[in-house]
Amino acid sequence: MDVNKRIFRIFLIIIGIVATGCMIFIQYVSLAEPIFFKQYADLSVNLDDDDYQYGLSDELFSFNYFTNAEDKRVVSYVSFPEYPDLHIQPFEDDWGMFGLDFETEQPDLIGQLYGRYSLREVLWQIVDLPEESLDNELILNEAIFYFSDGSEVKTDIGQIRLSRSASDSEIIEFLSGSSSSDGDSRSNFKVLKPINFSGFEAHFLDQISQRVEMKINNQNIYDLEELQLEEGDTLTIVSQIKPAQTLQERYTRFNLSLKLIFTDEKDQEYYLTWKESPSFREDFSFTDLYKYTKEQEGL
Amino acid sequence: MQSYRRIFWSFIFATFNLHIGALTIIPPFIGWIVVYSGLLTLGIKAREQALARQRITCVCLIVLSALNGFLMLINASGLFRMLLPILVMVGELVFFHFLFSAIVEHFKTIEYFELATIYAKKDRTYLVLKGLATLFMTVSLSLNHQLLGLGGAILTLIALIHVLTALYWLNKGAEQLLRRRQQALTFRS
Repeated sequence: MDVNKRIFRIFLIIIGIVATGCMIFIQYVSLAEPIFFKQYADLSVNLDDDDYQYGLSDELFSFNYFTNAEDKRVVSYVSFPEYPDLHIQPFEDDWGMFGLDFETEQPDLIGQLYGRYSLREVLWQIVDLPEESLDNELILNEAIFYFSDGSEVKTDIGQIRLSRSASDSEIIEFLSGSSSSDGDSRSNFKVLKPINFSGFEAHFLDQISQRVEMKINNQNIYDLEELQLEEGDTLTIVSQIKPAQTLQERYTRFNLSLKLIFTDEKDQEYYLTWKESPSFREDFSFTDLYKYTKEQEGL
Repeated sequence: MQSYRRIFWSFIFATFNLHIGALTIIPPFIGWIVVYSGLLTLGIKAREQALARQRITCVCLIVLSALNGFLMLINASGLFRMLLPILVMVGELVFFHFLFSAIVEHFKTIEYFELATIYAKKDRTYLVLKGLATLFMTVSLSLNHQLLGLGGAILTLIALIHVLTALYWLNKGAEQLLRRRQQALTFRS
């Protein structure tokens, strides 16, 4: 029995040490408040449609954040200090990130678990926005997220630009498009009259140029100065996501929104708005999320 | 031997819970209360200290499992809520070690040394299985580590089967063995 007593004591001591160590570790890595990922998005609101309040003309938009694994709060309301008239209805559920393909490992916990952290997604739609607000572009840099327990978090969200959706000139016809789960996309257009590509405009060019390689008819868009297109030609726009160099880059979401400028022989300008939302399928891990929190503290 | 049967069944009820929606049919603490009642009528011939410590551990398990059930019901969170299942596992480890120790002492007192050795071995095996399972589950619950959680769950299940087999054997096998020994002694005399 002496052997048994010794084994018993050894296990009790080891379990005590491990449990104490784990509790200290949990306290050390726990977050004081949820951390929202920054995102840069150029979204258009379709005001021609009477029921614009049921969604943006772009795909349903979402915020992503992570918090402590046991945090049972959900986002119940979002307001924007810069535009108090903009009312948004958030939807947060325990589907996990990006739809139904993930399930929570522990039924009483919300979101996708990564060690001590839980990754969440909040979908949103505009429920009230005075029409005249969109006379100028709305630029959202800050948001206040209200949680189900009454707490709130005011945070920098990157930049979201809301504007009226504008119709493109009918000099180019959309033919086909494809995109892959790793964020690459390809769109083909048919040119309806002879035109020259004379440049492009894009918000968040700093963020986009670091992460995305974009080509028009196999030529890098950032270096392209001129491109002659004849009637019946195919215009192909290809985007490829480059690997992120830093965690800040990796966890920053963005959508691609380019305004391509074309001119005809009479120097008349035509525009083609090309939008693409690369899939946000980054490799998350507990250690990377923890490093991200430390980087955020340092900023 | 009736008491071992009671401990056997009530331990099963304390471990496997039947739920109808949010309602637990037999909460684990009820199972532990029945285990406690089984302990009172066990009739083990051991030191009072050895008997008292298994009863105290059983009372602790009743309190801990009732508290765990209550916190689950109110959907509580926090460090203590996370720590409770680990405390229950440690409580089970301590309780069954004390129970096996008392049984071994009992067999030694009535001079059945062969059975005492068998149950000392069973105690050792249980300590290793449950100890490792508790360690794995501690890390898994704290860090949400799935692989360790799976390992911990498998070890917990093996430890559970080991305890149930040992209790069943006390209930059935030991009784037969004791009877055979009695017959052998009568035959010799």
